[in-house]
Amino acid sequence: MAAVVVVEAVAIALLTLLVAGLLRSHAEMLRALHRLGVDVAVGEDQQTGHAGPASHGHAPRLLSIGDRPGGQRGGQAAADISGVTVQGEAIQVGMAPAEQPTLVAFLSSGCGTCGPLWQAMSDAMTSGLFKEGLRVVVVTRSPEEESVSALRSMMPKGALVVLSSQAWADYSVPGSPYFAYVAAGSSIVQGEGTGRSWEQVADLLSRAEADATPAGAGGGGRQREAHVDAELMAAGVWPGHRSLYPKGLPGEQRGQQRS
Amino acid sequence: MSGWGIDAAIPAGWDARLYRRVPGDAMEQTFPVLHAANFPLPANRGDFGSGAVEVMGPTHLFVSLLEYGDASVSTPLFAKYGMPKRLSPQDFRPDQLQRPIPGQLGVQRFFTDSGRAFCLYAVLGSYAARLMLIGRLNAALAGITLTAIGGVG
Repeated sequence: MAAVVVVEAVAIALLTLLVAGLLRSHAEMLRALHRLGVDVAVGEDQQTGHAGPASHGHAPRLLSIGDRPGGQRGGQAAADISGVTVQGEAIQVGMAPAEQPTLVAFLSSGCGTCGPLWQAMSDAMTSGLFKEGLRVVVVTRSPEEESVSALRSMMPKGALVVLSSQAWADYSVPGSPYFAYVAAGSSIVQGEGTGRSWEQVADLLSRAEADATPAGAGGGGRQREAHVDAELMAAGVWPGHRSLYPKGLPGEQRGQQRS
Repeated sequence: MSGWGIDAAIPAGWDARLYRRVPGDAMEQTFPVLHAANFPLPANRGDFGSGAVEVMGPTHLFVSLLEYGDASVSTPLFAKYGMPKRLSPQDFRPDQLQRPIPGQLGVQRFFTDSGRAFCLYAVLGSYAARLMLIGRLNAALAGITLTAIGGVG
C-alpha cells in the first residue's frame, strides 16, 4: 500500500515537472513570436472560417497572423511584387519593407466575385473609405493565365495593376479575391483574408491595423524602428556613425575628463 | 527585370519600371527607359523623374537610365564608353538636377555601351545622407547589364 502511494507521488511529481516545462517552452515561443512582430492573440470569432474565395459563402474576415488556412503559421514575409503591367512594362513594387501601408488585392478578370470589386475600385479609393496614404496594388496572374484585354477594360484608370503569378505563389494566395495588408515599415503581412466589397475590406483592414498596434503604443516596434532610422539618416547619422558608439555614459565621460 | 537589351537586378524593397512609350505617330521613335527608386514610384512621371523627385525624402534616391537613338552613338556627348557603375560623392551637385529642389543632389552621365547611347541620371534626397545613398546607388548600378540589340524603333 505504501509502495503504491510512493509510486503515485513520484508520478505526480514527474507530471508536474513535465507540465511546468511545457508551459515554460510555450512562453518562450510566444516571446520569440512577439519579437518577430507576430500577434498570436487571435479572437474567438477568428478561430473558425477560412480565407478561401468569398463565393464559398463564409463570412469575410481578415486573419490575424498565425491563423492561415491549413494550419498555424507565423506572419509571412511581404515579398516584392515583380511582373508586368497591361501595357507590357516590366515592374517591381517594393515591399520589403513597405515604405507606406500597402493593401495587396489579388483579383482576376474571370472571377465573378471580383467583378463588383473591379467596378467599385475607383470610388472606393477616392471616397475616404481607406486611410489617406494607403497604397493599393492589384495583382492578377501573369499574362499567360489572364485575359489582358479584359483587364484593360475592367481596371480603373490610374490603378496600379501587376500581372504576376509569382506573386500569387509568394503570398500563398488560395484564390481570388484575396487581400493582404502590410503596414508601413514592415516586411511581414499583418493581416490577410477575403471580402466581397471594398467596405468589407476596409473594415477588415482597420481591425488588422488595430491588431498590429501594441496597446498604448504609437506604432509597432518595426514601424517605430524604421521611422527612427529615417530620422537619424536624414540628420547624417548613418549606420556605423561614431556618435552611435559613445565611449561611456555622459556622466562617466565628464568624470574622466575632470580627472 | 529585363527587356530591350536592359537587364536589371533591382534591389529588394525598391520600386522599378522598365518601359518604352508608345510612339505618337508612325514617324516617332521611342526608346526604353528604366526607373528605379527606394521609395514608391508615382504613376505619373517624366522620363527624368519629374513627378517622383518632388516626393522624395532625405533618405530616398532615384535613378533613370534612358536610351537615345542610333544617331547619338557617334556624337561627342556620348563619347565616353561604358555605363558608370561606381559614382562618388564628388560626382553629385545641386546644379546637375533637371529641376533644382532644395537639399537634393544630382548627377547626369552620357555614355555609349554595347553600341547604344544612354544617359544615366540619379538624384539623392539629401546631402547629409549622400554617402549611404551613393553606396546603395552603386550597388543597384552594379546589377544593370546592357546588351546590344538589333535596332530600336
